[in-house]
Amino acid sequence: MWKYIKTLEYPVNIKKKDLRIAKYLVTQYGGSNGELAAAFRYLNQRYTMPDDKGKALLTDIGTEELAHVEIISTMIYQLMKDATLDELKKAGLDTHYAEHGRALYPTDANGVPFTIAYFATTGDPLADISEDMAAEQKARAVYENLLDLTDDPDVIGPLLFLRQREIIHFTRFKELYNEYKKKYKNKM
Amino acid sequence: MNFNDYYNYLNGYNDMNYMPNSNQMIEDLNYQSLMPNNMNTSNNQNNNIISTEEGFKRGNMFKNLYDEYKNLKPRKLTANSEREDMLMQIMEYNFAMIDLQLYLDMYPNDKDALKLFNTYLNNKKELTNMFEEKYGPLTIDSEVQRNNWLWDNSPWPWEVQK
Repeated sequence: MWKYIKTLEYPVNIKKKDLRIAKYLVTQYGGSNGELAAAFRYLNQRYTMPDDKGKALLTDIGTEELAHVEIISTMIYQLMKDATLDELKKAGLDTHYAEHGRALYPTDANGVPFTIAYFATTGDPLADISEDMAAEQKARAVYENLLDLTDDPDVIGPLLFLRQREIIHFTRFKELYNEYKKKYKNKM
Repeated sequence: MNFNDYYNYLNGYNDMNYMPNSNQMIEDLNYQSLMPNNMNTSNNQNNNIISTEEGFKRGNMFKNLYDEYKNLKPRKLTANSEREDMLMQIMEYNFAMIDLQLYLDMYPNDKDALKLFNTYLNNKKELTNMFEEKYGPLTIDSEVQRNNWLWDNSPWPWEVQK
């Protein structure tokens, strides 16, 4: 089970509203390489990991991804919350407003709603962990794209933090992959 | 020692005359050991694990895994209030524990890393108790709700802190 801690993993305090950035950033919430997909991917794959080490790592990274969903959601919320209708229209978020008002909704940057089809589970640990490694690299690349699109230090700070987390997660998945490759040679 | 003294001490404000009785406190090694900057990390095998302060800023506790993007430096973390400053210290230890946890999942026999994990855990627990006494619960099983329900009586993490 999970227990809520009433704090973010990393502080987010965005003073300047910026709908343009909010519109891009949402992809790390509900896009194919976003944090929601990451959390579900690992937490769903963990049941069929072949040993306790893999179960621990996927549980713990999946749990951290839930905290990243909260960081990204917080950023979007803070970037959008004081926007007037006129500003929403100008930023092209009138379509978002029509469906969701000022509420959050997990989509990619093009407004395509989140779908569980963004990830796979094969039940083959090497195949699943390979996907996880690729997912971390893709998320890192998207964070870099987002960093290229903003100059607000309040936005850059959390994006840099989250980008480092992708690097750490990739490294741990890779270590697990290499270990399984050796351990289950000829058996997988 | 009251909370403010403790808090100022943790944040290194002692040389700014925040503390009336600094001599007595400097002798108190328990408090010193809680200061992130004084944490002994040198017994780490390859000296690869950096300070909690720097690691939290970076989002990465491991020197050899840190990878900069286009020379962008981690944001300097500043707090706007005593509450936020105290909370940031807790978040710092919390983060260090998350990163070490993932490492220990892969390398459960690294006793140095385990020792560090437990140091951060103890520091976080102590700071959390002090924070919760003053600002309310961070988790629902906090013991500060003995007489009053306080869960909904403090800012939610997604609200901008002024």
